[in-house]
Order: sequence, then C-alpha cells, then structure tokens
Amino acid sequence: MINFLWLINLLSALALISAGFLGAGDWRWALGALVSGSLLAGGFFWKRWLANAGFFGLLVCCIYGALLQWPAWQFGLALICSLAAWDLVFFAIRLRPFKDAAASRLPGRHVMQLSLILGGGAGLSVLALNGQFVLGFEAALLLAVMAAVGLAQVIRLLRDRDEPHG
Amino acid sequence: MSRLVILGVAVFSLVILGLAVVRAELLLMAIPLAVYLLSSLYFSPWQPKLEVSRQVSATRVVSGTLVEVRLSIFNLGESIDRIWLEEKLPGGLVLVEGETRLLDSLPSRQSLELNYTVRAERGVYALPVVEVYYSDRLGLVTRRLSYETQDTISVLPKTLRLAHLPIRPPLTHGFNGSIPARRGGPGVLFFGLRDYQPGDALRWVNWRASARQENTLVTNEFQQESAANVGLILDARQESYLSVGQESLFEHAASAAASLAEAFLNAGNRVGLVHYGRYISWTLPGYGKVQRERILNALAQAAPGESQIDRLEYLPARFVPPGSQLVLVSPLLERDLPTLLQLRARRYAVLVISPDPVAFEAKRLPNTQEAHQAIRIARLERQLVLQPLREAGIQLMDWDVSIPFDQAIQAITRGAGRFWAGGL
Repeated sequence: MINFLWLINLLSALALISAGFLGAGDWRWALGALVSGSLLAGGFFWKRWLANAGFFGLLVCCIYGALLQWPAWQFGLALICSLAAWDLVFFAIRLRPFKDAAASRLPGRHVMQLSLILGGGAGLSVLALNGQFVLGFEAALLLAVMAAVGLAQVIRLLRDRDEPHG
Repeated sequence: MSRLVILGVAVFSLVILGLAVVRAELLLMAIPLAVYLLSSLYFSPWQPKLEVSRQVSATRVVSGTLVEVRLSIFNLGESIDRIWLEEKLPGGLVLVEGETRLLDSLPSRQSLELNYTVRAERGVYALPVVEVYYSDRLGLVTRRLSYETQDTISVLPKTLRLAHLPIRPPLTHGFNGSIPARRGGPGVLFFGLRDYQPGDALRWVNWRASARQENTLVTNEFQQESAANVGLILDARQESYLSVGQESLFEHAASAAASLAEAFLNAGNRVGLVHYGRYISWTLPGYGKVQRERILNALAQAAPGESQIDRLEYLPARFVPPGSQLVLVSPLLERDLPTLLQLRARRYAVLVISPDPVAFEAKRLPNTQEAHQAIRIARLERQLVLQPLREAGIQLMDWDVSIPFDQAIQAITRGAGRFWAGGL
C-alpha cells in the first residue's frame, strides 16, 4: 500500500508543478521538477539522500512557481503532495526490512496520521489565505517571543537528537 | 542530512524569503511544513523507560543444535509510536526460524517480543548488545537505546562414540585403565607363568605346566591394565587446512579431536589438549567428566589462524612425560616430519590422525583429465610425506573425511592389527 501511495503523491505533485510551468511556457523548470521527482523516487530504490535532494528540488520548484504568480491552491497542493511523497518514501524504506510490520496496523496508522497532519496544515493555510486580522504591537511582540522560544526548542532538540540514552 | 534539519531549513527559508520579498504565498507554503514539523516534535518520545531481557534456550550446545532466542521489551514509560530493533547475529549462527527484526508501536505498560531460532556451528558466540531505536510517529526524530546483555552460546564440537582404541604407550600409571601395562597383575590378557605363591587362586594354576615341574606349582599371570597419559595435539595452522565453500577440513579435525578426547577419557586415561594456530592453547592433563568439559570448551574456541609457529618442535610436548601417548590431529606439512620422528625417538608413542586434504579437495574438482593428473601428483606427494612416518613406527591414519570418523577408525582397528601393532 505504502509503495503505491508515495508514487501516487509524487505523480500528483509532478503533474501539478509541470502543468503550472508548461502553462507558463517554461519547460526548463518542468524538466527540473521531473528530475527532482526522479531523485525522490531514486531515494526509495537506491540512496536515501537522493530522496532528500529530490524533495528539496520540488520545494524550490514550488517556491519559484509561487514567485511566478501561480494560483495559490496549485502550488500549495503540489507542496503537500511532495511532502507526503517524501514522508512515505522514508516510511516505506523503514518498513522494507521488516516483513511483519508491513502486514501490521502500522502502515494504516501512519497514513491516517499523515493525512490528518497534512490536512490540518492545508486547512490552516486556507484559513490564513482567507482570514485577515490586524495585530497590535503587544500581539506582535507575543508572537515574536513565541517564535524565539519555538526556535530555541527546535535547536535544543536538534542538538539532543543523536545522543544515546539508556 | 537529517530530515528534521531539511524540514527546519525549509520552513525558516520560506518564512524569511516570504518576508523579504513580501509575498504571502511563500508564508502560506511554510504552514503545512511547519505543522508537519511541529507535530513530529510534539509527539516525539523524550525519555522512554524500557526493560529489555533476552532468554536463550541453551547456552551450551553441540554443533548443529537448534537454539531458541526470545527477546522481550517491556515499556514502563509513555507510549512509543515507532520502535524497532535488529539482532545482528554473529557469523556461524544461522537463522532457521522467526525474525531477527521487529518494528511496531509500543503502548505504555505493554511488551513486544522477538522470537527466533538459530542453528549454531562450533564456536563461542557472544550475542551483541541490544540496540533499540525509537522515533516519533513521522520518523523525524530517531533515538537509540543500548542494553548490555551478556549472552554467550558455546557450541561444542560433535563427538562420536568410538570403539575401544588399543593404544599401548610404554609409560602407564598405577591406576586401573584399559591399556596393557606390560607387567603382571590383575587383568584378562595372558602375560606369562610364574611359581605358585600362597594366596594365588587355584583356578589360575596352570596344571599342564605344573605337571612338567617337580614339586612346583605354576600359576598363570595376567597383564595388568592401567591408565596412561594421552596428549592430544590439534593442528590449527591456517596453511594446513583447506576450506571449500561452507565446508572446512578443520571442522572434521576438531570433531575428531573431540571424539578421541572423549574415548580416551572414558577409558580412564589422563588426557590433555594442545591446539596451536594463531597462538598455542593448552588444557593441562586431567581425568574424568570435568576434564572432558574443559577439553570440549577449548575445542569450541579453536579456530584456524596464521601461525607464529614455524615448526612443530616448539610445541610444549613436555606437558606429558616421555613414554606417554601423543595423538596428533593434523593434515601434516612436509616440514613437520623431523619433529614427529624426534618425538618418536624420545619414546613417545605417536599416533597421527591425518585428515586427507587431497581426498577432500578431489571430490570437488571437475572430472577432467588435468584434474585427475593433478590429484595423482598430489597423492604421490602426500605419500612421500607419510611414508617416512610409517617406517619410523608412528601409527598413522590417513583419513578420508567423507567417511565418518567412528567408521574410519573402527575399520582400521578391526581390519589391520598391523596398524596398531606397528612401532610398539
């Protein structure tokens, strides 16, 4: 199941990005997206870093597409599909050596959780796109403090990441 | 690069770029990525408390036996969304049944089990440290826990029940055994005649011989059977042995040494072992079941290696006194001859069990004219090595390992009395 899902997501992302670039007559970026997609797929079959490179390439394509004034839903959806494909490629790689795990509840749970998270992200994006509100200085300051704390937490987590315990 | 770092860089790059070029689309693109990243961090397990235990069905087995291993992980802390581990089996342990890998989620106060069965070849195997990996539900934050376990499986060589080996070393002990001691005493083998002494049983009086004497009774005397010192020497030099595919000639030699040790100990002898390969290892001579365990443990650890010993003469043969029985298990190299002859000259009774490397390899060669010619030349070369030993009175068994050792040795002891009588 996972092996098909990542491919479907990747093809969807490629279709959205390529359609955008080809519609704007920019075949070079469409080709770049295709190469990035191939790298992402190569990560599943060969080396993991290829998948990272492929995802990064698709992200750059989406950013460039956004700068070219694409419709917001198109690049957003392409990005979400790329993210899902990237996640599922790594999940499929993780499952590969474990025969029993593929038949367990783990893949189903993962897909459900991923759908919820990405659906939540998409929903928030839609809300942000449609909602408008004015921030006062205090609210902006509070947001800045929360951002700083969040950043500190992320850095701490990154530093602790590979430290063995036990 | 870690996925977490890639994602973090992507989110911050989008936010900064969006603010720099004042484009809301870029900020919107950052939202799904940020939600993905934050949810992973939020659900990441921080300090799981796990209890890991490994149970091995047997820690001391004979080669080829199946050993069941059961590894269980009990979660004493919070639920873990994804946990996995892999047992890396040492070479020599072959997985027969079950899985050595496990990936699952582990709720709080529940356990996971990994069951597998391995078949073990001769050797001593230390099962590795248990390394448990766990991550958040999206697999972005991965951590590792290591649990030290001291599980060792000793796999002893297979021993075969051998028929009585009629060795006759010149030197024997006073203890009862099975070796004719060349002196009169309690026994069953006729040894000679002597004058009757008060206390001799009347049934041992030799009436025919007494009839030829005047006023003298003559009594049968029997040969005393005693125990002997036996020094087993196993050649573990890499250059002496061949390995073809999975099969090694050394395994046959180790198994033969184990069978011989058991047979000699069962006969009441005092047996010691020396094996020399990468280093010299010896088990001092002793009796009984404890000594059997010592020798089998030493043989379990024996492995062929590049030898620092160029010639056999550096062997500590003095761990059994001259006049004792030495049993060398070796395919033999040409340069070993002088030392064996020297040992023979020092009154050691020497028995050489020589697994035949030519026969071992010949069965695996193609059936061509060139191969036949090569085998013939190799056989002649081997005969040139073995012949001087026979002439010097050294007992020699040129063993084709395709024949089980017990059958091979039985055929020789039964069919060729000359073999055992030679040189004694």
